[in-house]
Amino acid sequence: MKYPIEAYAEAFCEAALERKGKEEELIKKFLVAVNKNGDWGEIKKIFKLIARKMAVRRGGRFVSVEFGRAPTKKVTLMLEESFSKKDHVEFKVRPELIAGARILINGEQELDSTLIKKINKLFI
Amino acid sequence: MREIIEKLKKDIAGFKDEAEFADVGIISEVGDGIAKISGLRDALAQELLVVKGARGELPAVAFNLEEGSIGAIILGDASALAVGDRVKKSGKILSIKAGDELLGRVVDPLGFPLDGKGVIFKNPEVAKDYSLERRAPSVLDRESVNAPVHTGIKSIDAMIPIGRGQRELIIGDRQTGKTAIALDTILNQKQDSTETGRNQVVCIYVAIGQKNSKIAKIIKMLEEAGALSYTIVVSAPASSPASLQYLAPFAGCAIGEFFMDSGRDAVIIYDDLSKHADSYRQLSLLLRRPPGREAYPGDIFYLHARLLERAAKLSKEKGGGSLTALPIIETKLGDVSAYIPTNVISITDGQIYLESNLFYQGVRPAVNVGLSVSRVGSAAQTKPMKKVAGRLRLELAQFRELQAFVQFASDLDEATRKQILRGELLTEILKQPDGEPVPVENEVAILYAAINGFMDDVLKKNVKKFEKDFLEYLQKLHKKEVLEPLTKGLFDEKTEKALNEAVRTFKNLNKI
Repeated sequence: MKYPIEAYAEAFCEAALERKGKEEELIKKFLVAVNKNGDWGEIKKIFKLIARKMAVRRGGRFVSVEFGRAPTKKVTLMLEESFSKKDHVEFKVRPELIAGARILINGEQELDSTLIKKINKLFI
Repeated sequence: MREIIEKLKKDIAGFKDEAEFADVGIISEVGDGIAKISGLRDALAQELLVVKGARGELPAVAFNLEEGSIGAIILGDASALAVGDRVKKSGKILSIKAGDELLGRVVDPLGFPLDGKGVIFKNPEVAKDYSLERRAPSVLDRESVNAPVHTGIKSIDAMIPIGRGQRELIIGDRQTGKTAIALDTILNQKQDSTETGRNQVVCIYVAIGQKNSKIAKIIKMLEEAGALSYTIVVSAPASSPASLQYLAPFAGCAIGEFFMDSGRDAVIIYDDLSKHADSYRQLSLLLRRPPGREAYPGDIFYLHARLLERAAKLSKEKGGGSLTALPIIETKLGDVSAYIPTNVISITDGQIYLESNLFYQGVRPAVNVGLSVSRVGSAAQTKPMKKVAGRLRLELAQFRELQAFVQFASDLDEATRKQILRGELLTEILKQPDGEPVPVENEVAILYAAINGFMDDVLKKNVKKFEKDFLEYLQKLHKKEVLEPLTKGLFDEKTEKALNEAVRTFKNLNKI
């Protein structure tokens, strides 16, 4: 990598704050810059970090909700309404969790109500 | 079967699960035995972490505390871990359970048994937890080294004596007999304690990066010699992860400290610290710590210094126990001025230097007496040994100076020729086979005979036979008046006279 992911994310966030209203142009130029530097392979990680940083800058939280089975629309709506508009919420399905859900906030605090956790606690 | 079902039903009935927020870290990178973990802001350095992988939980140690992540070493097989796995703090630092139940067992650096003899501690709650990283005893907690650790090797016990609480380095090229010296020391502890009135010395052998076959051979040898009953083997072979090889000496030291703190004497052998340094270098480079000389991290000296400083002789107020360390370092082509050897030489209280040249010449153990030293010296020798060993070093030093003239023996004066013959005799006396340590009373007796000229007329080829027969003779006919006082560390006029007479009588009987 020419530059660390952290540097790309921080640069994008600062540029976004300076150029409010010109987000589309900014994103285009940013993608060109990443490609030019040969770091296109890390683009997913970069955008994930950008989403996290933007949420924090807005005063919100970065929330990751992982389900054991695909949730219904009702469940996802209910969860989204539980958090504020400033929070960035993403949903994932991980079959290894079997059932239930776990919520990770800012990558540091977790509420785990998955079935796999209960089974491990019970038998291990 | 019924019992198992009842137990499971009980567990299910008593199961309580209240979901609550917990601090958690997430693995962002994993591979080569290390992991990068994001989160866990409050983790402390060297804190024990628990990684929940697909195949169960694995312990890890927080090594690097960086701005946005933690670099951790995985204490086990990291192949089952994946990015996204959760990590929790334990709030503790790594520790090992220590107790008398460890005697005779082979364990890994985390304290799990490897010998297939079942659980070590029947009541784990009773066993003491000793941290792998501990502070060394302070200056006030120590006292001077004053009791010997007899290795059973004549050249070492006479000229490079090791005391209880000392650190004596064994250094030499590969295949020069370094491990053999260490093992002879372990074997000799059995003989040394039965009649001297001192406590049985506990031995700990730490195998770092060794071949599994070599470790198995050592264990078998110790078992056959009856030495395993007072020995603990901590094994981190070459096939184990670098993290376990890094921790092995600290685990052994923690076990040794248990015995030291309970007022007993322990000897610990680190075989070898060169491989330990290599494993630490591997972990440091993987964690992107800045490399220094020879790519070792900057704190490589501190790694060995803090380990070896924990070997000490404690004062009577602290129980009077001791931990004697015998670290082993392998040199390349006899270069003792390389980085790691010079580091460890400056830390230890002396070194036993083994030379390949001497080994190939048949001088085994191949101890270079000129370059070897014990900084504790005669403070760690019994009175009889002090008496006989005093002249030994001088005689050998004079012999070495004259050795160049050996080939011109016919042109030398009588005194020089005698000196050369004496030197050759002493060199021959100091040779001994592997795995046959000599009790201290026998060492004193044979060295007394050699130093005082009783063996000057013995041919070089007959020296070994003379030694064997003489010691047998003493054992059968002069045990009470000669060997027993020597065993107890007594060498008064009466004992010396008895020994003198015994040698003369033996020679007369055998017409020497």
